[in-house]
Amino acid sequence: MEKFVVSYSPFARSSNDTNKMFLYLSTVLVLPAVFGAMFFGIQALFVLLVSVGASFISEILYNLIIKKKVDIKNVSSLVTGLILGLTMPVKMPLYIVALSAFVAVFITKMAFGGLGKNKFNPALVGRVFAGMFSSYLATNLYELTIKGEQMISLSQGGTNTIANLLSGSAVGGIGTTSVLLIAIGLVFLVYSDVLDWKIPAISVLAYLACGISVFGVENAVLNLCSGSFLFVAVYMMTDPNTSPNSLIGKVIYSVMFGVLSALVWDMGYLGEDTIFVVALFVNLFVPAMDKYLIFRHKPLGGYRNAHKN
Amino acid sequence: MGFVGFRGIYPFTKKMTIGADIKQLKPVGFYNVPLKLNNITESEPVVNIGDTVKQGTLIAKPTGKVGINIFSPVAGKVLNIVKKMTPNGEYVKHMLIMRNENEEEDDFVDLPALESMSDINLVARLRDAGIVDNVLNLPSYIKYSYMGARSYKHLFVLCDTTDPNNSVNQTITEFRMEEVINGAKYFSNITGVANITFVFTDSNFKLANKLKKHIMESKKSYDFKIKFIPNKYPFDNPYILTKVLLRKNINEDNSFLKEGIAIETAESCYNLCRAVEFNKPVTSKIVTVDGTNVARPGNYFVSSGYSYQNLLDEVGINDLEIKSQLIDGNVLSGIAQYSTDLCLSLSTETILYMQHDILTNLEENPCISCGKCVSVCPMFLNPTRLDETYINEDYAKLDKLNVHSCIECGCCSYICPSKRYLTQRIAAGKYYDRQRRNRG
Repeated sequence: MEKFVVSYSPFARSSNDTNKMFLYLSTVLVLPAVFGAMFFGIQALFVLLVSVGASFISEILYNLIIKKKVDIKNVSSLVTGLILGLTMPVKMPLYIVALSAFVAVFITKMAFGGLGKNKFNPALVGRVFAGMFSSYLATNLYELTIKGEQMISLSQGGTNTIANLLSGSAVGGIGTTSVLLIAIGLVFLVYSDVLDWKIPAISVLAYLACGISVFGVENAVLNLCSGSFLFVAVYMMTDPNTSPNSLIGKVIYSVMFGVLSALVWDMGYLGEDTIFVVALFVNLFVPAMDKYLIFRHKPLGGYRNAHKN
Repeated sequence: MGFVGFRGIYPFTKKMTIGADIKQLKPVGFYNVPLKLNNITESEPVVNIGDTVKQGTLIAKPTGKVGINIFSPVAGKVLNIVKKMTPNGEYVKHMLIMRNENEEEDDFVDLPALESMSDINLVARLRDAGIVDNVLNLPSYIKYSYMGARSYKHLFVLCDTTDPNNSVNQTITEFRMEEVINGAKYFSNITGVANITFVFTDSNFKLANKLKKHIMESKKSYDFKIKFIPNKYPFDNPYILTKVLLRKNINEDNSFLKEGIAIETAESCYNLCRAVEFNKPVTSKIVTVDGTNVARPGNYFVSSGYSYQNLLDEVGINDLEIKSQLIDGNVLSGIAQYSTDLCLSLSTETILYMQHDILTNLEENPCISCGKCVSVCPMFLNPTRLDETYINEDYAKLDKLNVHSCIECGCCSYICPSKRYLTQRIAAGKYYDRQRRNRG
């Protein structure tokens, strides 16, 4: 009889796979990308390509600098680049897009130790970085160039209606305008066990609860569907690494995000970047939540506090 | 179920061994009976080399207070007593018995008949018949030696398992129902708990109804109830079972005895019933033989001392070309064996002979903190934090994070999308922490 393979238990593994998760995510994100290209024109494709390309190059660059093996199978940079590109306004200058992607991947992810070690969501930091320039651009550049064209940024005073938002023919980032596409992506990703449905669900409920009680039903729904909130709630807040591990942490995190977004969206002056800044602020609390909110129960078993002996 | 309901993992294997009666195996020429069971002290042989034994002859007795009687599984001659390795990796004494070729009529030795069904007699019978509790890994009579207290409030009989492979208790409940019911009654006499609780998983309503019907039809004064637990591995673990059924935490301040909880399996009931009604000592064990490479998977009556090689020959093997694994235990928490030169003991529950899963030795990816391991850990630990602490070699911190509560069920490693070796590291961490404490 031939020899047996000897290994430690368990002898079976689930088919969950990190790389598979990233591939599913990027596949789903192709949908809003194609839509954005159709709606906003060829410029949208350039923004996405530059974003994805710059992300990949940043990761390879970092690995070369610290003399680490370049792992081509790892597609997390693709997801970061896609998400970052999809949240950008279409008229964003390409050098700012590339710079944001560099900030996202090189500084926020790789400099913290690579995949899984970053404390902040890379795409979120990248987008907030780009936002610093967008308000400058909005006031100085855009008013002159795009009269009569599709509005690109809500900070310029564009308005949306519910029907526009559902179909996606509204103002906003390249991939963030269509509520329907985001919903389709969410359903697919939850079904294939890539995303945690709790965070988007609780965020939206919190947003609606807070928004309706302060601003009324119509305003709240309109605000919910416009301005990237849903995109951020589905694709950015659910990033496993920068969201809490425990259920109670997830609930607090989502409620914070929903309520703060609802309030700041109407009261603040940041325009479209509001949601990203709020999301980044909520992101700050995650390490503490992971550390202190995890032991909901006393562990079972007979050896508790054995270290005292 | 509260938050407990979210823990554990749903079964991912299809049990091929359910629904068929327990099969007998052909007797073989030699039996190599281990004189030590899992976690129980080794028994001393009471027969000499060259002696003739019958089936049911006492061959080894416990030396101290805690131990187990071991009986000869066959009639024959003691050839040798040597140290040999068990599936656990311990070297223990094995008694080699050669079976008589010619079957004789008085090949059996029975225990003396019981005088009365009093609780003391029944506990003595548990000890004399060598009945072992495979839930807590100790001789069954130990739990009931505190008879003066009589403090038991709950008697749970596990008639079902949530194990991914093991189906011993289901099968025995289904096909030896009368014995299980009677045995449960004897345990009820021992503990003084009138109301017996039969525990099933919520996927096994049919079997529960069958048991209910059976008791209703046959017995008149039989007080029982049926409770269901979620069909999630490892909910049949005694700690989690107590948490689910009674919402009580068992830990260092709170023992099973203090809470008055007795947990028995259907198999123990069956063994006690046979020991009381037919005066038969325990010489064989029901073992689930399963896996992709086994031609005839099922539940088998296996005498202690039957070798793995004989067992595999009996159940049939297919696909010798592929890489395969031989496992003592279930697919998530068993022990892989490198040889078939091992013997079955009364502690054996499951034997798996299966294709090697390529996913188990993939290169690990960095942890992405998805929290899946935290959401499945049945003991409410934080596997990813333990993993990180182990890598930093901070063993004192591991202890603070309750690493010793880990039951090594394997759920965290199973679910991890980054294929991290969580269970492996935690087990190693436990070992190093114990070493650190022993050093002082």
